[in-house]
Amino acid sequence: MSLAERVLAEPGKRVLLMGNEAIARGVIESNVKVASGYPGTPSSEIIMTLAPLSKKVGMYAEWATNEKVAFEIALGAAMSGIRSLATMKAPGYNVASDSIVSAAYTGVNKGLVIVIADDPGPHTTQTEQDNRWAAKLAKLPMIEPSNVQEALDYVKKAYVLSERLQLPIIYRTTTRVNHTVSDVVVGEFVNEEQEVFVEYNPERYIRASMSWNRRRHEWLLEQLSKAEKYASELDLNRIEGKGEDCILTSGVSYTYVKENLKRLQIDASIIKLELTYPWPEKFLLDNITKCRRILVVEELDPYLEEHLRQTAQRHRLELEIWGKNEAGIPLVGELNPTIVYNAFLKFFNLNSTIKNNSQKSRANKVRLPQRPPPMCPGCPHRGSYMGLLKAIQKSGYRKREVPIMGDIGCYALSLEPPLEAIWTEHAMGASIGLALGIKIAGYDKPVVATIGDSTFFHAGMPALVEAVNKNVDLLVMILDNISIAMTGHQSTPEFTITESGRKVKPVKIEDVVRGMGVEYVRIVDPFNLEEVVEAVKDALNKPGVKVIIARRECALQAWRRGISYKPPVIDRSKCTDCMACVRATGCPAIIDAGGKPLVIEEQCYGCNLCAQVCPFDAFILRDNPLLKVDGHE
Amino acid sequence: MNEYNIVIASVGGQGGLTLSRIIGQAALLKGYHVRIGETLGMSQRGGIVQSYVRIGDTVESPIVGEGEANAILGLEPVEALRAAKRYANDDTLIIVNTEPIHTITTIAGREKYPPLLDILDELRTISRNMIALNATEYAKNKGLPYSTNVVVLAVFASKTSIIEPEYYIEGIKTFVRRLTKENIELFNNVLRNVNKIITMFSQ
Repeated sequence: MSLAERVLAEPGKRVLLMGNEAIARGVIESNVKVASGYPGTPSSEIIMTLAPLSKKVGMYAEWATNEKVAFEIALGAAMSGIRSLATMKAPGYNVASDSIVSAAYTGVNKGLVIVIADDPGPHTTQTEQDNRWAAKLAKLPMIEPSNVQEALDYVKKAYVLSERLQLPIIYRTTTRVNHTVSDVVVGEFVNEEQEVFVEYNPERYIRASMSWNRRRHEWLLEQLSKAEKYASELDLNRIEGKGEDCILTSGVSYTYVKENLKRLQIDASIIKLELTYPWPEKFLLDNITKCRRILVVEELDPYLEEHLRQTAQRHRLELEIWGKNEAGIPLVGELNPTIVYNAFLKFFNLNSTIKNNSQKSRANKVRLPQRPPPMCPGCPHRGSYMGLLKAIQKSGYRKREVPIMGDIGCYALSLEPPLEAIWTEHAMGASIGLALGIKIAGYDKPVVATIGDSTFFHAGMPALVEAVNKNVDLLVMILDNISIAMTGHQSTPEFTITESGRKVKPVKIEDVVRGMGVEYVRIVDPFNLEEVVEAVKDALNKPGVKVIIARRECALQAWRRGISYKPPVIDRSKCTDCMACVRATGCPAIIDAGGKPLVIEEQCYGCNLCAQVCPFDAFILRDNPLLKVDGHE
Repeated sequence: MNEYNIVIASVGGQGGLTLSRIIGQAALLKGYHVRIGETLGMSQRGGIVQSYVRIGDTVESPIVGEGEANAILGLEPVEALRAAKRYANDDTLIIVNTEPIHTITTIAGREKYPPLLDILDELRTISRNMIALNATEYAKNKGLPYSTNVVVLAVFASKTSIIEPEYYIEGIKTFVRRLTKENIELFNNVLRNVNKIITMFSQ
């Protein structure tokens, strides 16, 4: 049974789906016609699931250049009577927020759901921002599913709520919902009639009149006042169990609460919130009267806790509130069953009954090495940074004299040994802006910005225009691996065909860069170390903005298309076991095997970078990837 | 069955996630509820990958609590020990593939990869219910160098009785899209000769 068969399974069937695949199913069940997003963990699999099925189900499902554009596409469609979806990771909200906040005043004519996937932990995100506050800031209703079944089912509810309120809905998930795989029962497909109409309504759509803006703000508050009632009609928000000891929770934390109550065989009332903005005060007041004490179990910020304390104060409730401090629930990192277990021991005043782990404490002899994420074998970024670092040294600078700004993508893994190349990784596209600031501040040595292909399109372009316009001396290396690799190899604007099978017009980075007025543009192959070194050396001290595009397809993507090269062989008569090949590349496919370098053939992609750093010419090449240029599909 | 918790410890690229889904699909067909959680890093390859497979009549949380694993399937020795220290208890069944995968810190010479025998000793200290074999070597010998996960699955299937082998085979059919037939054959082979293979490939 393929993913497509599971996602499109007949209503009532029980299938195994990941949270994001379940959301995709919910989107298809809801007859959504336009879906857009920008890849970002843990949100990517929603559009990844929809795109290949989009023709079959009659949907537009494509990646956009960034989250703001993705949201605007969805909003434009929903303004025009078409159900639509936008997806993004947590900081994607920051990028899209300019349009999202205004959209609360505009509203929609047909359902619009914005999936924002937060990442408590964090597992793969620069910040642990808690986007529940984003809903409050934007004044948009927010729904939070707690498991995969709800992630599927509540999509339908979200579209109904969106249409009743004429507002976009924030569908806030976390990694443990998006990336959990679970058995789910799939639901019925709704046949929601939709027709495109574009309305001329200046007061609603033009934010240039302040009196209109005030009136729309009042309209927004009026709509929000109905949200709780409509949500309860959709069976959102739930109370379970019994007793004067109560637990307030939402999202995945609910599952930890439920299991620990069972494990400890405790009776308590669980108040599970599913509409978490606007604050469902009526539901809470209706159900809280029997509570004498209440424990709030939530990840990251004390969002529920602060709202609960306000409600208690406003209504002078006699209620003992246990929040983050009282229960020792951390503000940092994700929750897990053990943290909630320990909070329960405190709240319910119990002794630990956890399993006997006497043996484990004696197991502390072996020192486990760390395993930071490496660049893959054959990663083109390895050659780009090896060449860049070598060129800096050959130009007479010490390694820490020439700051290399990093950006968001696989190439940020150059932070790890042995390269330890980048000095910053801040936000999408920020490498160029930060480099500008350093030069403008007066730093007199060269500064290099390194940025990936998709990140450049996403948010690097405005900063590059600034650099050209202000004529700042700056080297920008655009690392074009012909893929949005880190999030699972999504298409970029350079592609000729997208995941849905749609033929598109490729936008080439070199054309964009030249169009912006950059005169120094060179394209190099990162597998050709000498070429990279020569190009960087030439560009480093030239005045103005220089752009070097290091282009070579992501090895994993190429491998999947059947492209790889024969591994080189070490000539033992020449090898001195100096380990330069192992130490300089940090490639997982060449290791120190008892004092001798060893190429692990099954892992080797055949990039030959190890051979290029060998001081003794001890590698026999069996293939030459430089002869073959991997193009865009 | 109330609940059964499996932690799969692996390195990105070894097929740990696929293994979790094979078991998940098998459990679903057997009629259990399933929750699979995973902890991944940023890399596509070579980082730590932990999956939690929880099956039973009622399961809610996608993560396993500390010391709550019934079984740990370690596709790599260091990662098996890392997971065992957190999730094993005295009774946990530990199956470990003995083929090491170096880390970039050991490749770069910053840290030492610990001796295999020390790792196995320590795993034995944690639980006597420990099985070690070079599953990668065995898979390679059978011409399937990327099927370490299927070998470990077969050992697990033969040492436990929570799910019948035919369900695992259905799981392989669903989630192993390349060389499916060969992998099923590999699974059956291990199942038939499990003790012999464990002895032959014990290091």
